[in-house]
Amino acid sequence: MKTVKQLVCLLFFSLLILTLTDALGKVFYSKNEAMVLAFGEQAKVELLSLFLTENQISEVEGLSRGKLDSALFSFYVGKQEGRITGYAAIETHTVRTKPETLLVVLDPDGKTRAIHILAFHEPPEYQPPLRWFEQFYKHELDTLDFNQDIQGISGATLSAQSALTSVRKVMAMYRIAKPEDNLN
Amino acid sequence: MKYIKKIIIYLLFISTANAFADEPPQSVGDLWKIIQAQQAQIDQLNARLETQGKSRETEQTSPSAENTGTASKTTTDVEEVARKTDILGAEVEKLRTALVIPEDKQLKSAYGLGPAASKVYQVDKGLSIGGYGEAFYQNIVADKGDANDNGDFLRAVLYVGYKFTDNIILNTELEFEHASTGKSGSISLEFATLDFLMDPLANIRAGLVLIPMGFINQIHEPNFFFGTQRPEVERRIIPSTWRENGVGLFGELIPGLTYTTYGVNGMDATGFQSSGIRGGRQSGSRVLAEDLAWVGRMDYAPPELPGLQVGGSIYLGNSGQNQVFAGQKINAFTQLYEGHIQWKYRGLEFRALGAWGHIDDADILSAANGQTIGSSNFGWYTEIGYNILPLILPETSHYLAPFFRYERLDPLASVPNGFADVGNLDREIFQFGLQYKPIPNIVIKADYRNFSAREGSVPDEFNLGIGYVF
Repeated sequence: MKTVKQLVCLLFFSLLILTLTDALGKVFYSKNEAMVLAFGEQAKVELLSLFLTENQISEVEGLSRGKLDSALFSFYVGKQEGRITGYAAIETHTVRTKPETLLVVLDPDGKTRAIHILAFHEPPEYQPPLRWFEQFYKHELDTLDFNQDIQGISGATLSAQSALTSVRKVMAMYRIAKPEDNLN
Repeated sequence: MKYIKKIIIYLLFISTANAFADEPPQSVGDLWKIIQAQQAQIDQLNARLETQGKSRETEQTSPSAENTGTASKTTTDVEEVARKTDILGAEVEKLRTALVIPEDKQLKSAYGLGPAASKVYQVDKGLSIGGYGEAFYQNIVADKGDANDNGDFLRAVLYVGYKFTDNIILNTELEFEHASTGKSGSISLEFATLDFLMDPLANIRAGLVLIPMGFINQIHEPNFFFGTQRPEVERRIIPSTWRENGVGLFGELIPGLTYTTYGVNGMDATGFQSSGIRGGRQSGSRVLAEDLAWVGRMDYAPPELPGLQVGGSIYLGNSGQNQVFAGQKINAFTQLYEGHIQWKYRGLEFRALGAWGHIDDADILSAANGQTIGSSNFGWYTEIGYNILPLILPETSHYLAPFFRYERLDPLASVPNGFADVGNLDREIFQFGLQYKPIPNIVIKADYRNFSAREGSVPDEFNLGIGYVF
């Protein structure tokens, strides 16, 4: 038993030293990197600010099943050779007491094409794996629900719930505020 | 007409000038106010343009140089205000995102925050606070015996985490049980670990760790399990909340395949009872560490089947701790094996778990502890629930799930020769109830538990409870 204990201690300190000397710092995406993720290197990105009316706010809240905290919403519009390649939104929500920031990328027709976690300030074990977000891709807003096409995840229930609301919000915003009609 | 127009332009000029001449806006809120003011001006000017357009239509027969010049000037004003509003909209977006992610790669800090943003907005970088709590009322509805109706604010737990760097993280939970230390309550450290994140494949965790067995021991917030009370199998066979001092590794080997393994102090067999090994937990408090134990767990969540998780865990270790039991030192080698499956699909939630344990030297332990200690023990349960509310109110975000759970357990599945079995501990439990969540962080519970035992009776309960997590 003494030998086992000594081996455990030795292993622990070896790994600890390895950690501290070869630390792989966790990298988050900057906004500029996020735009490349969303639209690629060559795309031109424009900011589109949408000023929502009371009715639009109400409709978006109804569809997304979440509260909007502002009447101003921003889409990033990706363009290549004058053609719109997609819309992206940077959505931040509180998981428990700390924020998670998602990049939600929509196709020109308003369906989710990609989701990336840009920042996650809660402990890492509450962070859903990226593959979990793949369930959202190419689905209609109406099927994005835990009772329909999105299946929950154990261990990250609150993160999953708030991520679902955020994605629904971005899709609802596309449907109600019609960003393509607000482009110059 | 000309007089009104001049007033509008003058007001516009003054307000816009003020907005930029004063101190720069200090927050998103300040910028938003400016934008709203400018948007109102745009609307006002647009209305003005429409009025002028109508006037021009009626005056087309006799256009004057004065009218044409006025329209042109107002259009320019509208364009200018719209341009400024666009700039401010962009600035608001920049500030919003700067709170959580940096603009450029060069500005990345250890926490993903722009250094300027964290300085200006004083965002607390590493501190994370959370918690959960649960309380219940229990009404004994049958086989009352000596039991009385009762209530308890069972737990209030405060979580505090601190991210020292991106790869060294502290997680702690401080638990207040039964509301008051003056009334048999307690304050305990539920866990306190330092995580050293190295690689997704392998990370180190050290401290007071939660033994990674079953569903409840690691994730026991009331919002995430059915029923007011935790499953009996995960209280008596897997003694949740079970934590010990230790160190180990955790990580993800391939997508969906996760593991956790620790070396911990062993249990203390002086606390073993007929009802199970629960009393043998040392909970990190001045522990005996003559005997160590090993625990390992693996889970697989197939990427192709979101919502499904299968896994198992093993605990092996001596519990004698170099103490004398009935005149002799024993190892009291303690084994516990557990397997589980969980499936979430379209509002349906299903769980099943089975656990089996074995204790060596149970005869000596029984003699020393003055009660029968089971050589082996087992328990299993299965439960199913379904969120019915979307069927009634399709647009609702609330949650209402009826559920059913069946449990079977016996901490004295086999007993040492010469010691009597206690048939009353060999139990079967039927439970059904309702779980309501107006928001995911709040839960209201009601359930009925019917106990039956191989010998004698056990009180049946109706429970009402509330819980929260943040």
